[in-house]
Amino acid sequence: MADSSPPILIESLTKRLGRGVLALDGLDLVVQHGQIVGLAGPNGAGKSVTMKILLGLVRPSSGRVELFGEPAHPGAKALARVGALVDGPGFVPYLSGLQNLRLAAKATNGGMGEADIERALGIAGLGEAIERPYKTYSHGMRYRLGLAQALLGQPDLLLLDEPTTGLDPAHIVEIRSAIADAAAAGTTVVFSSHQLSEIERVCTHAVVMRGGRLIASGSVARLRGEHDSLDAAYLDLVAGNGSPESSADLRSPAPVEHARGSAPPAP
Amino acid sequence: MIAAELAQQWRRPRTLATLGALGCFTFALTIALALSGGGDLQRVGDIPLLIVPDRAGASIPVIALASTMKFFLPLAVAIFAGESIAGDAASGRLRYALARPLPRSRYLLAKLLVALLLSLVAVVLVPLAALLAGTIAFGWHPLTAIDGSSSTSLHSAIVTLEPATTIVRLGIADAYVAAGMLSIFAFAFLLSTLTTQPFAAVAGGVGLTLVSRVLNADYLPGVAVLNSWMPNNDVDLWEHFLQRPTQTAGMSHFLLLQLIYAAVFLGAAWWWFQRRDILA
Repeated sequence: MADSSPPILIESLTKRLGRGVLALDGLDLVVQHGQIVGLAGPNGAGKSVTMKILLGLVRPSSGRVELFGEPAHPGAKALARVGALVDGPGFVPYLSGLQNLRLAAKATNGGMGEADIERALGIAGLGEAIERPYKTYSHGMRYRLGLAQALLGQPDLLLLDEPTTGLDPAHIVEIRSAIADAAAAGTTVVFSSHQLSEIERVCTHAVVMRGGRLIASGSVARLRGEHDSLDAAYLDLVAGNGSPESSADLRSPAPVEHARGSAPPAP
Repeated sequence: MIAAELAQQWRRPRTLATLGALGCFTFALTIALALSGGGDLQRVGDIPLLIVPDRAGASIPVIALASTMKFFLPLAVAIFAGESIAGDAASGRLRYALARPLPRSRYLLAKLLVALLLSLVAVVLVPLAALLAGTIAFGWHPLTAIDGSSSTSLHSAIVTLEPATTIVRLGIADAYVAAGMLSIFAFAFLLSTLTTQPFAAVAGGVGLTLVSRVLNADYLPGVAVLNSWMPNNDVDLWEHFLQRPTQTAGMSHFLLLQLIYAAVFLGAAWWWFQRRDILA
């Protein structure tokens, strides 16, 4: 397992769901070590499906998907290096937050130490509520516990699917801070969001998807270009107002590239 | 992983409620018999056996097994099998359980073994709790029954079994009942891999029991040809272990049928689960 391999490499990825729905249509993407990459796009763009394919939950119809240089498939060894919060948290409702974290720790890598659990408890920040049954938690508490589980064992790659949806501002700040801490510790982060301001604030790079295809990628500054904000650039892009040339410019292979082997441009 | 799964399921309120309800049923049955018809001849099962409950504590497990076998035990088995994977899917845990360096077949096997174990506990619990309640209420005496299938208006075929013999025969009968639940278990388990709604998987298991019971020549003479292929009908033959001599006709066919149904349903569950996209 060479660490020179990118955490994520996706080539010509296609996923056809039931009734002929094309969820992904030839997606190419490379995420390099240490990046914080935001996935943006309207509903149905393929963001969640992409993450589920990376996690081995969904099988691609065709294409190549690798995690740390190894093929991504159900049960892949590389999943030991990945933490995730996808489609919301998932815990045993009748167990306490602490029992759930211990259960997750036991199931990850064949067991973790108390230090890992203590660190996760710090991220969850639930105080005495950690002893309460999970089913009594508020939406925000559940997401914080979900993020704590995703960060158990300090994964090398963190996949977060809309981790701030429905949270109040205080919780959003906490989750943003946890993502920044993880990235500072060397974790590569990929997270999807409908809120481009969130991506602009947190991410080093961004990928814009629509209809299962990548329509732009690069550093946040490059994607924003001449626009006041990423929001404005995004709206131009998905509305098709940008000329093919300008789109091509947004797509230019920054550290987030379309294909392995392309030289990263200057940010 | 099996130990962690077992510990988790053991703490599940529905597991405790299901087993608790079965245990309580046997005590409630004993109390009801003690308060009302304990000294009257009771018709038990399809043979039938005619038993005076208050003559021996060992009569209670016979009555309890006959009372629970057609619905409550299949329901308990369907709950344990049907909720095993669909329950994880409904709570969102399935995504995180499978997003690990763990082959799906290992996850499925752990779920299967734990659900099987809990189902077995349910099937064993009923006669055990009933024997305890019965012995407390009516004492440790030989079980005497009239074998309805061998009796005529002029002759009563009386069977008397010593307590130790009764327990051995009840143990064999219970093992037969447990084996007879395999098809229901496997069908509910298959449904559990197909749906994210645990209730649907449980209802499917119970539904198969009901269909099996309804498509019975006793009620619908036109379906006699289906009788020998119904997955749950001949589980009733367990009572024959209490006859003297034991009538085993039809048992081997039924047990073979259980193995075939289990192989087909569990094989389909394994095949599908390997290919299933976890989208929700």
